[in-house]
Amino acid sequence: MRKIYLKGIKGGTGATAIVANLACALKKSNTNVIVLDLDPKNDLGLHLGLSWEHNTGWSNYNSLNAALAEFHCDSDGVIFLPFGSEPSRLNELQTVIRDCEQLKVDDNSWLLLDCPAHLDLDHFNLCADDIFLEVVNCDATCHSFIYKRLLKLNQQTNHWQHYFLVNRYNSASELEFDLLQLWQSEVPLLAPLYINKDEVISESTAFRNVAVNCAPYSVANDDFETLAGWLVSRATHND
Amino acid sequence: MTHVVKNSTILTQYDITNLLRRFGGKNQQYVEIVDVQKNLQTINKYPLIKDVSSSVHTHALSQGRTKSN
Repeated sequence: MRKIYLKGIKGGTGATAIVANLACALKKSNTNVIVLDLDPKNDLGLHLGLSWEHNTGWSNYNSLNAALAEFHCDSDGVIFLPFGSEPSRLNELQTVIRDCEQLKVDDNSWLLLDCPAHLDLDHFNLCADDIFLEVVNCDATCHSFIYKRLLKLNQQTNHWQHYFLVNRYNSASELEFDLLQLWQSEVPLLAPLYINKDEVISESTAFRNVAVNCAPYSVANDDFETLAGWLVSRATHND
Repeated sequence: MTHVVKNSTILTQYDITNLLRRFGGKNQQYVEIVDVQKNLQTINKYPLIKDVSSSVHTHALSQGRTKSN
């Protein structure tokens, strides 16, 4: 099972929308895709058709086995497990991730993990086969956080694949244009693609769906398909 | 070889290469043309970016350098 962690470098970068859209893009290649919501905000399900009133998930049970009934399947066949309503269970992230890895699926399956922005990397038991996408926006705050992250990675003893993924890129903004150009030549580990700002992503969420279904000819759909293809190539390098 | 001091706020070119090797997956070589002047203009234009840059110093990039990815 191939694990991809997605986490905003700070809150509000749009990481959860990327998780939902990426899951559906990966599902187009007929592989199993399982998504685990690790964020107490519990909003991943909103992108995948879950009812707003539904507020239970893995955190409401003592074990993953007990929570099996909380797995849902969206219209594209993406299997997802909401966080639920017990934020105190956040300290059991490693247990639920490990239990998900034991699910009986083939090796080509994907496990996407929607991680809360406020948790640091120490909360995740990352290993060489893992891909960690840290979602950033083109602004000065993220620029500051990127370099703080690079300094921390420099001191790590373990290693995994770690990339900064630009989201909501607006090429009409002078600041964003300047920063992206600077990052593309100066920032190591910047993903060689970015997700453009596209109203379709927000509108799709309002329809409790994803861009790949609501607007298959949109820029957003192209971006997510490109992201999915690139991740396949990165995961293949690990194999 | 430049030694990385624990809790250092310096990222040397060696550190960057090391980060790419450890966290960027397999190496792929390509040649990148970098507009150094444009990068400097951007850094000097925004005080916060300049602040970060002066604290996290990287060795000057020369035009037409080879960058490993």
